[in-house]
Amino acid sequence: MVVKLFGQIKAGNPQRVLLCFLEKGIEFEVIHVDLNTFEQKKPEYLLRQPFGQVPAIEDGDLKLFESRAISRYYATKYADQGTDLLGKTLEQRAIVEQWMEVEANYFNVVVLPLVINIVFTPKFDVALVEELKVKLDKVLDVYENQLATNRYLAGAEFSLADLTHMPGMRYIMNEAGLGSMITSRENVNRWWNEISARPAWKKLMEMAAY
Amino acid sequence: MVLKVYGPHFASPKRALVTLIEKGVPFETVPVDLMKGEHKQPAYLALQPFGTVPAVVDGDYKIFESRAVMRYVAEKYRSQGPDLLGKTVEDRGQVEQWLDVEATTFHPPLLNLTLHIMFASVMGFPSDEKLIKESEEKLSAVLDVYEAHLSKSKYLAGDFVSLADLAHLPFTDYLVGPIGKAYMIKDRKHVSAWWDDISSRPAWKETLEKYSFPA
Repeated sequence: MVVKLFGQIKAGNPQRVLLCFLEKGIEFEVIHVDLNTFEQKKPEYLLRQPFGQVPAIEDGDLKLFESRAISRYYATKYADQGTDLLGKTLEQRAIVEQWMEVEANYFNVVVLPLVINIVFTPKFDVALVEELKVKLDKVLDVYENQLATNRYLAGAEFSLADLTHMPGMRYIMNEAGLGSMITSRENVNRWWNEISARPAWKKLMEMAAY
Repeated sequence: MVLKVYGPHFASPKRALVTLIEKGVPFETVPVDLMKGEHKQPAYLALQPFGTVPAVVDGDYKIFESRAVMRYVAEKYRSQGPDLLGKTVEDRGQVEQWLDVEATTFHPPLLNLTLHIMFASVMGFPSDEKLIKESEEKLSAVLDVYEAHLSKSKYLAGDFVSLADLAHLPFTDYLVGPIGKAYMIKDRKHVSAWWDDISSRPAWKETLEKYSFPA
């Protein structure tokens, strides 16, 4: 039986899970949830994900939501298959966890409202967007430093810590028009170029057909 | 060399502290003076480049982000104390799910309430009444989901207490105390029972006793 992913291929959070599946060579089926008609807020979907968000997965009897938790589960369960996304030792895994937390607590908290405002809100709050850009600048300065001495965020190998950033980074480079924040930083730019050249990412971009 | 936790008097570090105490792991704490801006000094930034607490040093090993520290401690000391990650990979999946819900959905509105009600005057910014109202509404909607879930599940990830429950302790302690919104918990039968259960655990009582912010 193949794992079912409920969500939209073009939506950021489902992309996190899809990318994990593609890196690990895990077969999956996408069940489209139409965010444009607010299908995710309807009673039938709320049974799957009580906060009315995508994605959710169903794998036989197992049901899970929260894209990062789903990614961790599959990266753990299929540790010996495909790309190693969690490091080899407990200590390495904890550093991967550390930078996954950084993505959720520092990066996404500014990138998400930036994207919502710039890309999805017709008359967005200009002052708020400027404030958020200042915050994102500070976060990216920390990344620039980290990536000066590390090929990837958690060290020498690509991991979930890098993967978890990719959907948000794509918005930054494209629809949000903030690419200069990346290209002006030598190490962050190098990192993004390298991880977005990965076959799994290219496959995801093909599926999303932007 | 004993594991060190920096900034024990603040809320986020208490996620790490309660986990260490639950697992019976010896540790030391190092105070960080946020009021004096110690967290923005080079010495501290070398441990935590974002200038927030906690930071943890375990011999030669450094790690920050309180929930990452929880996972590290729970995994490293799996064989002692309660199993806070569950028994199976599937159990762990549920723990991770609710840990992420805490971080992405529960914490943000509660953080707004914490900053604007408890710390605005101390930190010198105007308290935003509109944001407080919106944040309370958002947190209320989240707690409604918790109420439904906890009517079918003793703890968040199942019938065992886990990192997911413990992660909620420090800021919910603020909510029912200095923030002055205990009714948000008490008015919900199952959330209230769950809160009474987890906040009366000896490890949490010890955390509060030893590391509450000096009055």
